[in-house]
Amino acid sequence: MNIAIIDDEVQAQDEVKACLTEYLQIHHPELIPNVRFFTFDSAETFLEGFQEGTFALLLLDIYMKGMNGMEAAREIRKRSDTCPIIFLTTSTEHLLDGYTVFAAGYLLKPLQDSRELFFEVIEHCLPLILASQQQLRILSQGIALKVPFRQILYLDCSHSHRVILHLSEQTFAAQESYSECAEILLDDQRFLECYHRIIVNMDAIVSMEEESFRLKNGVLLPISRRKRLPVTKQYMLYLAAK
Amino acid sequence: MTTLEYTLSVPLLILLIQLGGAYLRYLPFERICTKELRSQLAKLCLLWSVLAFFLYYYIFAVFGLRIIVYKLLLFLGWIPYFLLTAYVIRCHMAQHIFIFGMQTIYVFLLHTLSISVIPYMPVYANISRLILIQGICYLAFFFLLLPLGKKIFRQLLPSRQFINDKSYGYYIALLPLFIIISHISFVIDNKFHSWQELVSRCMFAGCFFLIYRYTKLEAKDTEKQNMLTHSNKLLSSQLQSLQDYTLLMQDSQKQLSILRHDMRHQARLLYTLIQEEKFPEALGLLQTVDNHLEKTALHPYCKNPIINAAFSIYIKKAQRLGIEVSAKINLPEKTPANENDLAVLLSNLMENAIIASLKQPADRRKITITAQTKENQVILCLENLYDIDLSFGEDGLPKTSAAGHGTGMDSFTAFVKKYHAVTSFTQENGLVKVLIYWKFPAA
Repeated sequence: MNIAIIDDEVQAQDEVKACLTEYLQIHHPELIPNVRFFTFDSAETFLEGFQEGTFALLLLDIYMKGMNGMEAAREIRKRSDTCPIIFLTTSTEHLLDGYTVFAAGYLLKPLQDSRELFFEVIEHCLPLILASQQQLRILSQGIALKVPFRQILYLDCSHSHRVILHLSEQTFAAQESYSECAEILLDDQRFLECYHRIIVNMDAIVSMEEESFRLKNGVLLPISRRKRLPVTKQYMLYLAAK
Repeated sequence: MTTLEYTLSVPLLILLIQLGGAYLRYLPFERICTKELRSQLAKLCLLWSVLAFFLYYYIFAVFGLRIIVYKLLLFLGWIPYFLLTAYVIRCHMAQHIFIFGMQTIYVFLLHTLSISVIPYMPVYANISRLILIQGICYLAFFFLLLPLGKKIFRQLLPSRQFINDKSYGYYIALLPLFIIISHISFVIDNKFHSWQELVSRCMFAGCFFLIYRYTKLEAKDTEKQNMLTHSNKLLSSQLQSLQDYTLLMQDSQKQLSILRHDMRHQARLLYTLIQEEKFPEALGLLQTVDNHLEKTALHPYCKNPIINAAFSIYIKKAQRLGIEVSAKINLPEKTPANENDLAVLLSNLMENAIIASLKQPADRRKITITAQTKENQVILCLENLYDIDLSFGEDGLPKTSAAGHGTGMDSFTAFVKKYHAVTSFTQENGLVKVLIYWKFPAA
């Protein structure tokens, strides 16, 4: 689990690292061996190498030399919809902007003063962080594959009842049964069975039409007429909880 | 024709007449009926018709083919169909009564027309034939005038907002029924009346037309008036909020100028404290300055001024009334949709949530508002605690008869229709949750 701390003050970086380590030691010591911290002293340096899936959590200062944290967050959102961002700053001035980039938290420095709140925010983010690491293990043409959940757009079945996994640019036919895949995917809150034997990743939906979902690759997935109310409600709740 | 043939044909005729009436009574509700309701109503009516046929046959077999029996079956046979329609298309009792009254006047006119033909028939002397011919004439007029009847009855449904108004809604609903009942009592006898007597019955055409026009115009005016009252209320609330907001800003500016004035003095004091190594006192002073600085900050709910005003009015109002409010708002500064529509929607929903919260015990008053955008998708979620069970109409919205409250729901419906929004209105474990999803049109 890679965690990035972006702050132009080394002292602040150390403080965040210490606070996070303390939290993990108290609440989730089992995670410590897997956690790796990466520190960056500017948003520009961080953005050079950032792409979807590189980091599980970002702790971002707002007032930095060069590009500020809010601008950086907007750039991050262009590359990743889901990576949790926690802002660390000295003023509430940008609190409102925080919502526009789906910030997971907005904390005031020094962190020692808002330590309890910091722990609460991390506790809240942790299921999301762990979920972002999740992968679906499948056998495709005899090869074992690990497909990160975030890469799956949707899953359906072919005419021969074989499970087809649709990613942005490729598809895989899985040897597992639909019910095996559904059991794993539907356990994750981002997946929704919108039709008989079709499971959609709600993060990939760009619009909800009268009887279908439109995905970011342009595909239209039908919404079950029978389950229309619970399906649309679940999607709306998911969107509202973002 | 034999007596048996007459005894079989007349019940069938009565049933056709009754079914025609039931169809006319259904027409006003046609547009609010789902496919399932339509099919349920059709099945129940058909089932009752089969049972009624045997019942009518039995009655004629026992009492004979007499005009009084025929008239009584015509006058009373509507009851099961009316009850079935009211059972299937629920929550519109006042409208059902009004429609029934109007349909009875209309049917009465058709009967009058059909009876006026009878003196010219050569079979006048035979009662059984007379009944049959009157029934057939009635059906002929019914089908002849059906295009006109359909047109009138499809537009006849007065809005729930209008008819549910307790001050005069039920009076209007009962008016056509009372007019017709007052006349029916004179015609339940064992004869068909002469054309001279029928002239007075023709006056019902005037009643029918006048009530129809009056209801349409009055309903239109009432709705307009209600909308105007509601808009004025909203406008005055928004003005009040803008005044409140101005006061807040003035207060903030005042605090800021005090702070600026004190700044130099405090900086000098801080310098001295640090020089004298009185660090705790210096930290205390910094903390005080920081607290004062925070007091000057204004936290808007969103950057769009009109939507922010709507949020500010009602969140402040709720907080003043002791309702805990938590808000998570992410709406763009410039919305491609009409921001006034959104502001009115928010105001209506918030107002309803506040009214509902005030009916709760003081420790169970809470409203949560979430507004989130993802690309051009917008989701608005409003939750409030409300322990009293709500009843929902066929449209999935809570029903209400409170004055002014229905208008809020009407404007909610108008928003949903205009933006093709998807909605969910639920009450689970004392938590009322409204979800509205729509898309901003591409800029």
